[in-house]
Amino acid sequence: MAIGHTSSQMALRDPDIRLMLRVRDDDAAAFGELVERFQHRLIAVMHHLVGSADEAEDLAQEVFLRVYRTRKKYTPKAKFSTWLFTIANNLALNALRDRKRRPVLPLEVRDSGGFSTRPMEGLAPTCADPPAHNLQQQELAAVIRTALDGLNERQRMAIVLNKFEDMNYVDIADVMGLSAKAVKSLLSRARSKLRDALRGYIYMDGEMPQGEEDGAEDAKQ
Amino acid sequence: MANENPEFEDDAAPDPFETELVAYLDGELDTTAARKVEARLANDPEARARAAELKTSFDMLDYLPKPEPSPNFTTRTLDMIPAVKSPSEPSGPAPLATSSTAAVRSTGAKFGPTAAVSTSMPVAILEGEEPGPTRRDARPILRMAGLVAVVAVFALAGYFATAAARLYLFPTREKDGDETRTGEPDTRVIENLPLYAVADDLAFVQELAKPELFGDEPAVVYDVGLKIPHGDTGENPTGKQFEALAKSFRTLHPARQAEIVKLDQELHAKEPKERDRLFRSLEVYAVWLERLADRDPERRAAVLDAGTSNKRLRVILEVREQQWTDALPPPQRKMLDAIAIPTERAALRQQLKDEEASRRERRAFVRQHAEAFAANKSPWPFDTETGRKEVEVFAQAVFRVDDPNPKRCRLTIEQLGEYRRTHELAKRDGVWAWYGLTVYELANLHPYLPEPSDPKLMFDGNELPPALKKGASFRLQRYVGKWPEYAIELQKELLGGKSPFMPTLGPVRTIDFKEPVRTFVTKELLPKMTGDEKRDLQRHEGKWPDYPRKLLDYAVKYDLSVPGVTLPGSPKKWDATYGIRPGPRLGN
Repeated sequence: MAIGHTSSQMALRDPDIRLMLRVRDDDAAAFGELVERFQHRLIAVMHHLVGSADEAEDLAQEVFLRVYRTRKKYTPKAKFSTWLFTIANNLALNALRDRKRRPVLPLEVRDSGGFSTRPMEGLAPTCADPPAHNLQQQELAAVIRTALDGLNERQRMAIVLNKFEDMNYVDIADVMGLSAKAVKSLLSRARSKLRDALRGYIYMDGEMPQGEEDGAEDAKQ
Repeated sequence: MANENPEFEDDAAPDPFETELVAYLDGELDTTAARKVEARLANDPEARARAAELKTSFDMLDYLPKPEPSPNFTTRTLDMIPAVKSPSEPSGPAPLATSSTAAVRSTGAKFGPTAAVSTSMPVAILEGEEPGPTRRDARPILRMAGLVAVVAVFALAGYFATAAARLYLFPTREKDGDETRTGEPDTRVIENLPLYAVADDLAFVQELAKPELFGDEPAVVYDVGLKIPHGDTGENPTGKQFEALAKSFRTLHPARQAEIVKLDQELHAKEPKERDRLFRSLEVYAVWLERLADRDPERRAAVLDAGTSNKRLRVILEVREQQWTDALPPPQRKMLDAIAIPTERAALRQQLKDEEASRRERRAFVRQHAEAFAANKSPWPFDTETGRKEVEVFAQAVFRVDDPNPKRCRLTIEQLGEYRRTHELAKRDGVWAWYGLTVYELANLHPYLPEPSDPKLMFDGNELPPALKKGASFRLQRYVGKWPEYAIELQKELLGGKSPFMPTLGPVRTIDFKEPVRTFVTKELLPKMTGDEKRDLQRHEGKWPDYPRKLLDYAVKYDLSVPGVTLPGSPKKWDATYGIRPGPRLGN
C-alpha cells in the first residue's frame, strides 16, 4: 500500500477515509453510515466468492465487525476500500479453506433444480422475446456460477475484485498481499480457466473460431 | 506486503501470450507491450479469436444475479457491536438534531434505525400535541392524503396566523435580498411538508410516479383531465396547523431541511403538468403509507426504515406487488400460486399487469375521445385518406410488419397481433382511433433510427464481419435481423468490455443517411436550427447512435417528423392526440 500522500491530504480528499476516521474516533453514527455505504459492494463480492447469500452476509458482517474492532489502529494510507477488501480477502479465504476441509451443503444456485446440466438450445431467438427468457438467464447464471466455482479461491478472489470492484492489478495486489506480477499471472490463469469452462456457451450459433481467415480489417474499423 | 504465494500455483504455468493478452484486455499494459499485442492481433486470426473468447467469457459474469443485502443488514450488524448504541437511540451528531430526546425517540419508533445513519426521510414528531382539522376537501382521495399525513406525521398545536409564522420562521432570508428566496417558497415548503416529509428527493418522487409504483393510480392518471393543479385549491394548512408544521420543520437537521427545500425547488421547477403529476403521486403515496399503518405496520416500518432511497423504493415495490397479488380475482390468483418457478411466476405476473394497464389506458383513451367516438369521426391523422396511407406505410417500413423474413419484424408476437387486429378493425369498420393509438405506442416502444445509405453499414447481425460476430455474445442472438436494435445492443456490448474492436455501427454524418432523410436534414431541419444547436449536433458527428439520436431530438424540438423514421406528421399533435399518460411508460 504505497501511496505517496500524507494522511491528512488523503483524508481531506477521500470521503470514505473521513468517514473511517470518524469511526476511529468513536463517532457512533459514523459506523452505521460506513455499513450503509459499503454493504452492497462487500456483500456482492462475498456472494460471488462463496456463492451463498447467507454466507456472504455473515462474512460481510464479520468484516464490518473486524473493521470496528481494529478501528483504533486505522491509519489512512491508501484508498479506504483497499483496506476494507484486504480484511475481506483474509476472512473470505479462511472461510473458503475451512469449507474445503469440511465440505457442507451445495451452493444455492446449484441446488435450484439441476438446470445447469440442460443444453441451452432454447436460446434461439424469435421475432418475439421468448417468454422463458428469464428462465434461460437463470440456467446460464448457474453455468457461470459453476465455472466460477471451478477456479481456486485466489483466482476467484482476483477475478471478482477485477470484475465487480473494477480494481486494477496494483490494487488487487495490495488487497491480496501479492506483487502486481503475481496478480497478472493469477488473473491470466483464472481467465483461461473461465474461458475453457464457458467455451460451449460463448458461441451459441455453434460456430467455432477455428479456420477464421478474414475479419481483421473489419475488426479494426 | 507483496509476496509470491506458492499456494495458488496449482495450475500449469500460463501461456505467456495469453497473460499479455488478458492484461491487454484489462487495459493493464504499457504502450510498448500493448503495441506488441495489437500487432499480433492484427496478423493472427487465432489470437483474435482467443481475445474474443477471453473477453466474452469474462463479460458473461455479468449474468450472475446481483446480490442485494437483506433489508435489516445494517441493524443486525450494528446490533452485534455493544459499543454502538442502537440506532433508534442515536448518540453523537445524528442527522436529527431535534430539540429533545423524547422527540427523537418517538421518531426512532416510527422511522427506525436509519434515523441515525442517514439524512433521508426522518421528520421529528412533536409529542403531546393533538391533531387538528384541515380544510382539504376538493379532491377526496388526495385531501385525505394531506389530512392523514398531517395527522400522522405531525401532531398539531397552537394557531398562529400564516403571515406571522412566516416572519417568525424566515426573518433573515427576506433581508438577504435574495429574490428567489422570499417568504413565498418557504411557506410553500411548510405547507407541503406532510408530503415532503415522506420523500427522499426528486429522483425518489419520480420513481414513485412511475406506473410500477403509483403512477398508474387513478388519482394520478385520470385527474389530469380534471385540471385542478396542485396547490391551487386554497386548502393549504393555516394557523395552528401551519405553525405545527413549521415547528416540525425547524426541529429537522439542517441537512434534511436543505434536502426538503431542494426537493420543493426542483418540483416547482418542473413544467406545471409534470409537477402536478409528481405531486399527485406523492400524495397517493402518502395516503398509501398511512393506510399501511393500520393494515400492515411492520411493512410500513420496513418502508420507513430503509436506509437509502433505493432500498426504500425496493421495499415499496415489494409491498405494492404483494398487495396487487392479494387483490387479484381468485382464478388469476390461483393460476399465479400454482406456478412454483419464481421467474415464470414473475412473467405471468407481468403479463397480468400489462393487460390491466392496457385496459386502463384504453378506457382513458375512450374518455378523452368520447365526443369524436360518438360522432363516429376519425381522429387526426386518419381524418384524411393521405393521412391514413402515410401511417400505414410508416408502420410497414419501420416496424417491418410485413417483412417476408419474420426475424426482421421489430415487434413481439403479441404486439404484431395487436397491430394486425387494430388495423383490420380500422379497415373494416373505419375505427382508426385504436389503430392510431397502437401505432403511436409501438413507435414509442421501438424508436427507430435513420438508416445508412450504404446497406453494408446496417448491422443487424446477419452480415457481420466474422471477427465482430465472434466477439459478440450470444445475448445478441435474439436481436439478429433487427435494425437498429442489433447494432445498439452490439454497441453496448463492445463499450461495456474493454474491447479493442470498436467499429462505427451506423450513419454518423448527414451525408451517411439514406434519402429522404438526408434531404430532410439539409433542407428542413438545419435551416431551422440555431448556430449553437448546429455546433452541438456537429460535436456528435462520428458517434453512433449519438448523432442520429441528437438529430431526432432536434426534429422533435422543431416539431418535425423525420420521413421514414418517426411518425408522419407533427410529433406534438401525436402526443396531444394519443399520449394518455404524460409520465414514463412501461417498456416491453
